[in-house]
Amino acid sequence: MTVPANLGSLVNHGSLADPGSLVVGYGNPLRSDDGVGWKAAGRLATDPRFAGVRILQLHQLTPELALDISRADLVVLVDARSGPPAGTVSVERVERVEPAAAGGTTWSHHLGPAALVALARDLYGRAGDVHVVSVGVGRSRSAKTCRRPSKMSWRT
Amino acid sequence: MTTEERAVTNAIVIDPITRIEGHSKITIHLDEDGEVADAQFHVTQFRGFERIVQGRPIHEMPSIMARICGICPVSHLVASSKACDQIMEVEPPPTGADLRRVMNLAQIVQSNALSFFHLSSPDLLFGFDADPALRNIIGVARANPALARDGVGVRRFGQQIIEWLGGKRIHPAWIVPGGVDAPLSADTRDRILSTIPEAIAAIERALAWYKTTLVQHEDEARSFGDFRSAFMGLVDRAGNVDHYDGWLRVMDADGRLLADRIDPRGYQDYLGEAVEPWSYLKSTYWKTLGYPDGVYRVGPLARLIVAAQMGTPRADMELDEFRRRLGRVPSSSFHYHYARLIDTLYATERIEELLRGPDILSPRVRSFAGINNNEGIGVSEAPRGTLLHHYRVDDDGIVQWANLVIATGHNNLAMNQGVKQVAKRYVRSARLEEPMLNRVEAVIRCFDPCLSCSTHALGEMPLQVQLIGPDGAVLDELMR
Repeated sequence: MTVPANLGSLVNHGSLADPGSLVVGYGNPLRSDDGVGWKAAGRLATDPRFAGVRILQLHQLTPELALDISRADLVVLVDARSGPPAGTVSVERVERVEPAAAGGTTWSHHLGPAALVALARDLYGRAGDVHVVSVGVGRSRSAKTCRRPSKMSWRT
Repeated sequence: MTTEERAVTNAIVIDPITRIEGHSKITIHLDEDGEVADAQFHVTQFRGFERIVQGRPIHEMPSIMARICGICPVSHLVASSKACDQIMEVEPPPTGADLRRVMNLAQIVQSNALSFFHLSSPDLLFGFDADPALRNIIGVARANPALARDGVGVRRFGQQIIEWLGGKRIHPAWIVPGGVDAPLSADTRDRILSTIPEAIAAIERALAWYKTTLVQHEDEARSFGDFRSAFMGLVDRAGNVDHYDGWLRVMDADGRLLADRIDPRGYQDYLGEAVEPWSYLKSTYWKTLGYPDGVYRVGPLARLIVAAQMGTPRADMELDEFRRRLGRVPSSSFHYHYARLIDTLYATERIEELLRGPDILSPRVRSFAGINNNEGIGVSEAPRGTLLHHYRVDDDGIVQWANLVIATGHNNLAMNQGVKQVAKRYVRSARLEEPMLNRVEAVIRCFDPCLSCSTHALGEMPLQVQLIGPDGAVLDELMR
């Protein structure tokens, strides 16, 4: 696995293994590649080097997560992303958004990462340094993607 | 019965296939004079769990059925497990039943909080004509962070209980046929109890805020599904609200009982299920009034109306005020919001009562049995209203047939009436305009419909509204 430069900077930014870090792997584990974030979080949870890290496996990001994000120093959200080739990994730092850019409709009960960061800052005064690790899943199910979490956890 | 004779689910035919496109749609039909003649709320997606489960062993049913919905999986877990109880001919031990109640009530809390705080409070805070781009939870957090914090806190409270009891917030498998999978520990009980005072305080703050906003929404209250109908919900022996068990009570618009102490297992004697060619959502109706006149409503507003009292001190005080303000049988669906908050307060108080019960830590939480009955019906109150699961199995416990009657289906006729009323009030020409679309969305939101549950489809509800002329031509169209 080739670690992208921005992933390296994320790891250098602060130790993910420090207490006060939060890892959220999200997606639907019943939908093959969509569950890659969930699987990655599961791998980290069994790694003794991350024993002090809070690790959550969720189906989606919901407003309730804002409190957790406000309490963490470093937050890593791991998700599947359709489009990029299966198994590719990218890392983006999350910035807050304005309400008009929150996206979705008022029917929706989940949020994007940027909206979640905005919510954490507005409600609790702070948000950890939040990064999204996106794992490309291509356009179809891929055994390559499903193998990726073990390598991700090892390198991280 | 041989394997060949059992229902087999290898082939599923969906016909017409074109109707799996899209999510939901509203069509408004104009007459020759340009006035609104009719409006229809179409649910245009399909999952068909009743068919999927044919051929599955009965012990798999609670877990499969919980997958219907990511918001209220516990409701399906409860109703499904109760249907399995009847097939096994067992009663859960009293502590097992009480623990099921706790998780079911936690589900009521978290789902009601989602509906009120996350989905509806933006409309209530900013008004129905505010920019839709700002009417979301981020906008609420900026304008009224205390309200948004309470919303996050109350939903988190309910979800946390589900996770502490069942190991995870979504799709826990802790409720099983015969009871629950594991007893409650003293540590978990005490952790839950420690969170209750703040949850109650947050709900009461939301109630206080909501009551101050009521006067601003009098116009919407008059036109958001304000019509005469019956109401239905489960009540206990004393006639008070019961979310887990009890009997069906149906009250008409004048407060008269149409039926009382009905064993819900006989639901087919009372409830008809109609299917219209324009929607995958079934329309349930009260048989003696016929179709489509037999419209009734379920959910928080119906629960408050049919019950004598809630049965907990704080919720009873709020119910008294609710009735002083709105009367014994409020006819407007707008008041679902108010009722939802009182329902949430009750659920939180009741969780505390149950957890303080002397036997709540008993290790006896599950009964075991084999297949002793070929049919089972499980009923409970889900956040959106009465939920029925009905299964038939063969002698080996293989599901042959299933029928689900979901709260959103009970409310379908009422939602259609609500949409029609809003259309008559706000459609002023052969063009659709934002105020009308905002209110169509909002009147449906009062009922908090769950399309995942009712048609077994994805949870979000992008909306398409079409205005149709008397000749069938599409005059205008809006999407959101």
